[in-house]
Amino acid sequence: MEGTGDSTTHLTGDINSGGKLRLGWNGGARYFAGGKLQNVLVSGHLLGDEDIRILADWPMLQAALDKPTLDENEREALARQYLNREVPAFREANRKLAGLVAERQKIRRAGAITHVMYEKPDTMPVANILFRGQYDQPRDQVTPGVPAALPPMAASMPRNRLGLAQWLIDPNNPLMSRVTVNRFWQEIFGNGLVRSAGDFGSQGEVPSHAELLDWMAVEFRESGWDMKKFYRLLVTSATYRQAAITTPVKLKLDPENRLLSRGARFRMDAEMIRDYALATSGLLNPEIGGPSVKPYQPKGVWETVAMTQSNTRFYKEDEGNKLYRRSMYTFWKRSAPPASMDIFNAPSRENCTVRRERTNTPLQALVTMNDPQYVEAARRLAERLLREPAAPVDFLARQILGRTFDLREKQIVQRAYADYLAHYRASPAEARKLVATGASVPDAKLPAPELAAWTMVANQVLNLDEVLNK
Amino acid sequence: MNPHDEAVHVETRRQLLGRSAYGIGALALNALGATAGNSASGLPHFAPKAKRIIYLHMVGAPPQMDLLDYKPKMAEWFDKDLPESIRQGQRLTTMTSGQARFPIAPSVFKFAQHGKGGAWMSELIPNMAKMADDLSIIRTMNTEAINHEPAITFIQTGNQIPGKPCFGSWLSYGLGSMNQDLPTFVVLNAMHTNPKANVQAISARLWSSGFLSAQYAGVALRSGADPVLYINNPDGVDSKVRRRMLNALSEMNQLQHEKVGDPETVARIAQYEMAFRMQSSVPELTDLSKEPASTFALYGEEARKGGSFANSALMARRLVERGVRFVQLYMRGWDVHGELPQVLPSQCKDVDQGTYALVQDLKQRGLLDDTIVIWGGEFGRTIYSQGKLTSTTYGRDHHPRAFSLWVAGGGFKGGYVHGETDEFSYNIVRDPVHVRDFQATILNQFGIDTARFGYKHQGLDQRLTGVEKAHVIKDLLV
Repeated sequence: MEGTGDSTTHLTGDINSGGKLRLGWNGGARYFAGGKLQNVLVSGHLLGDEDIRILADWPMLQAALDKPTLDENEREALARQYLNREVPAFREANRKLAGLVAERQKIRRAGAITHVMYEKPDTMPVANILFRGQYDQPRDQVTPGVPAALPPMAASMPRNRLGLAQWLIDPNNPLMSRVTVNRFWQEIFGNGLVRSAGDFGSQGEVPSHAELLDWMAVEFRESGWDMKKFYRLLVTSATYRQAAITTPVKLKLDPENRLLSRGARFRMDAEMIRDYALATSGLLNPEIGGPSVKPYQPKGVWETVAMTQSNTRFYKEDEGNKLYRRSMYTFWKRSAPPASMDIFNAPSRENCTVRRERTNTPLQALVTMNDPQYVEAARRLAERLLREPAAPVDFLARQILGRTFDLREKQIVQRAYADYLAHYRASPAEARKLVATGASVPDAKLPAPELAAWTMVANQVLNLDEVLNK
Repeated sequence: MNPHDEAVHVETRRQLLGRSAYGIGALALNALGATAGNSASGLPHFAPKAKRIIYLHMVGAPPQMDLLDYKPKMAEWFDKDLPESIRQGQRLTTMTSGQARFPIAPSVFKFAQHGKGGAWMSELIPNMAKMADDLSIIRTMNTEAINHEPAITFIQTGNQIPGKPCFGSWLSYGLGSMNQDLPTFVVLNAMHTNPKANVQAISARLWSSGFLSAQYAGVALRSGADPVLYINNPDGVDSKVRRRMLNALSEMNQLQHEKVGDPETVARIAQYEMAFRMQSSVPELTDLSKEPASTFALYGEEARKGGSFANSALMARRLVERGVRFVQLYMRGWDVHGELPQVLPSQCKDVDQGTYALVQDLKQRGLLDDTIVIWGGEFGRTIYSQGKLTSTTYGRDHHPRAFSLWVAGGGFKGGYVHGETDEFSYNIVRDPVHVRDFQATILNQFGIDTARFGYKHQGLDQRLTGVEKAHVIKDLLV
C-alpha cells in the first residue's frame, strides 16, 4: 500500500516461507525504491480500502492538531475519521460497499475480456503492399480506399470501417447483395448461380441465371437484408422443391444441373455428416456455447507433427457428453485438423473459404464405416430399435431416412440381419467386442448377438448414399 | 434398371468427368490421386527419365559444413569473428541477431574423400559415403526463407505462404497414378531417437493439395496398428462381416440409383469397393514378415521397429515397388541450435544406414534408374556459433544463402559434386541452385517443362516454381 489503497497487492498464497520478510519487494523485483518506510502495521484481518485510508490519514491528523485552521484535505480526513468512529450506519454502508465492489471484481474476473477496436484518433492508418505477398518485402504505402475496379466510395463516407460498411450496403454498389444471395443459393442448392462464389471478377464464371441473380439481390436488399426471409423464399420455391430424380435425358441436356432441371442432391459437409449420425442415433448433446471439445480421434495424429514443447502435442479425448457435441465445437488444431472432418473436405481454416470442395473417396467410406463415432451411433440406434420390437426395421428407416423402406429394401435389410445374427450367435465374443465400441456403455439387458447384428444393420443404413447426401 | 440402362448411366458419368476406358474402378482410383495412366492434358511434355520419387526431407535443416560442404580452412578461424566482408549485413534470425559476436565454429567432425568423384563427406555419414558414386551432391542450394515453416513450405510448394499445392500433389495431378489400389502420393513421418534433439513442428498442410482438387493430397501412412486412418474395421467386425455389409449396402445403393439416377451414387458404390480393397492392400503393404533376412541385414534391425527411419525407408521402397509415384518422408530433429556435436551424431546414425539401404535396394531391384531419391533439409546453417562456443560444443543458426543436399537416381549424375561456396560456407561463389531451379530440374526428369505446367487459379497461371523463371540445372543430369 502506498498511503492510500490504490496500489494494494492482494496476496494469494502463504507468505510464511521461512525466509526474510522484505517490504517493497515483490517476487525478487524491487518496486519501492528511493524512499523510506514508516509505520509498518501488521493487521490480523483483511483491511478494506476505507480502513487503509483512515490508517493512512492518521499521521496527517496528528500533525493537524496544532493547526489553527484545517485545509480541505485535513477537513475531509477528519470527517472520515468521525464518520467511521461515531456513525455505525456509515460503517455498515461502507462494509456493504466493499462487499459489492469485491463481488463486481469477481464477476469481471470470471468473464472473458472483450477487446473493442476503434480508429486511432490522431493518425491515418497505412499499410504496405507486400511484394508478391512476402512478409519481409514491404513496398508502396497505401491508405484506406476501395479497389478502383469497383464502384467508387462517396466523398461523404469516412475512410474507416464505418465508411466501408456504408459503401458495402450503398444502393449504388450492387456487388455486396449479389455476392451474398449467391452464397445463400450455393448453400442450399450446392452450387451458386455464379459457380465461382468467391470470384465475381473477370476471372470468375458468368451467372447461369443473371436476371434471377439481380432480382434476388434487389429483393434481399429491399427486405432490409432479412436473411431468414430470404432463405424462406429459396426453400419454398418450386425450383428448390423439385425431386432430385435424374433421367438420362436430363443428364444429357443438363449434366451438371446448371439449368436446375431437378432438385439439388449433394453430399453433406463434414460437420453435417457427423452431426447427422449423432442426432439420428440420439447421442447428440445439444448444448450451445462454451469452450471447444475433443471428440474421438485416432491416436498419434497430433504427436506426429507437434514440437516437443507444444501444448497441443498430445490429444486427450474428452469424456462423457462432451464427446457428442455438434461438430462446430470440435477443437481445431490447424497443423493437424480433426481427421474425420478433414477427410470430408472441411477447409484447413488457413484461408477464408467461401466454397468447399466435395470429393467422393474411399477414405470417406472408411470413416463412416469404422470411426468409433459412427459405430457407436449405429449401436445406439440398435439399442433404441430393440426397445421397439413391434417394427424394428421401420423404426430404423424412419429414424435415419425419414421414410419407410420399400419391399425390396426391407428384404435386403432382413436378409442381412439374419446373416449378421447367425454370425454373432455363433461368435458371441465378437458381438460383445463390437457393442463395446465407444465411450457410452451399452444396455446390459439387451442380448449381445442381437444388439451386434442390429448395429451392423444400422452401420449399413448410415452408410447409404441417400444418408450421406442432402 | 436393366444392364443397358446401367451402362448408359456409367457412360454418362465418364463423359461428365472427361475420362475414358476405365469405368467404375477408374472413378474410385480417381479419388486417390488421378486415374491410372491418365494425366493432365499434354503431359508429359517429353520423354521422362523418372517415374517415381522418394523425397527424404530432413526437417530442421542439417548443417552443411558438418556433413557435405567441407571447409578445412575454418580450423584456423576458431573463435574468430565472421568477417563483415562475408556477412555483408545479410538478414539473420532474431535468435542470433542480438549476439555481440559471431564467432566461427569449425566443424569438429572429420571429412574424407569418397568414390571416384572424390566427394568430401563427413565421418557422421559413413554409409552414405560408401555410395558417393551414386550421388549428385549440390552444395549451392539457396532459398528465400529463414525460418522453418516458410522454408519447408517454400521447398515443398514453391511459395513461402501456405495454401499452394505441394510437390507430390503437382506430380499426382500432372501424371496420375501407376497403381490400382494404393494412393498416388504417400507421406511417411519417421521418428528420431535422441530425446535431446531440437524438433520443429510440421503440418498436414505440407501434403495438402492447395488449390488443386483434394484427390491429389498426400495420404499419410502411419506406423502402428492403423497405417491409414480408419482402415481397420471395428473390434468384432471381421472382413467377412464387412463384405456382407458391403454387399447389402451396395444392393441398397443400387436401388437408390434406380430411383434417383444420380451418377454420384454409382461412384460412391465404387468408392466403398475401393475402401474394401484398401483394407487388404494396406496390411499387405505394411506386413514385413515376408521380407527376407537380407532386407534387415541391409536396412538394419531398426527397420523392424515401426516409425523408425529405417522402417520408413523400407516402407518407401515397398510403396514405390507397388506403383506409388511420390513418397514424401519427413524426419525431424535436425534443428541444431545448440549442442550440435552432441546431437548431430545420433541424428545421422538414425538415417545413415537406412538411406544407404534404400538407394542400394532400389538399385538392386533395377528401380533406381527411374526413381529419384532426394536427401536434404529446407535451408543451411551458419558457420558462426549460436550461443557459447567452446572447443567441444557449439550451435548453428539458420542460414538460407547456401546449403547442401543430394539426389540419386532418376537420371541424375552419380559421383558428382555441384557448385562451390566460399570458405565460410556462407555465400555461393559458383553455380547457385535456387529452390525453384531444383524443382524445375526434378520436374524435367519427369518429362515436364515447368513453364508449361500450370493451373489457373486466382487469375494466375499458378506453377510449382512460381512466377519467376526457373532453370533446369543440366550439369546435374546424365
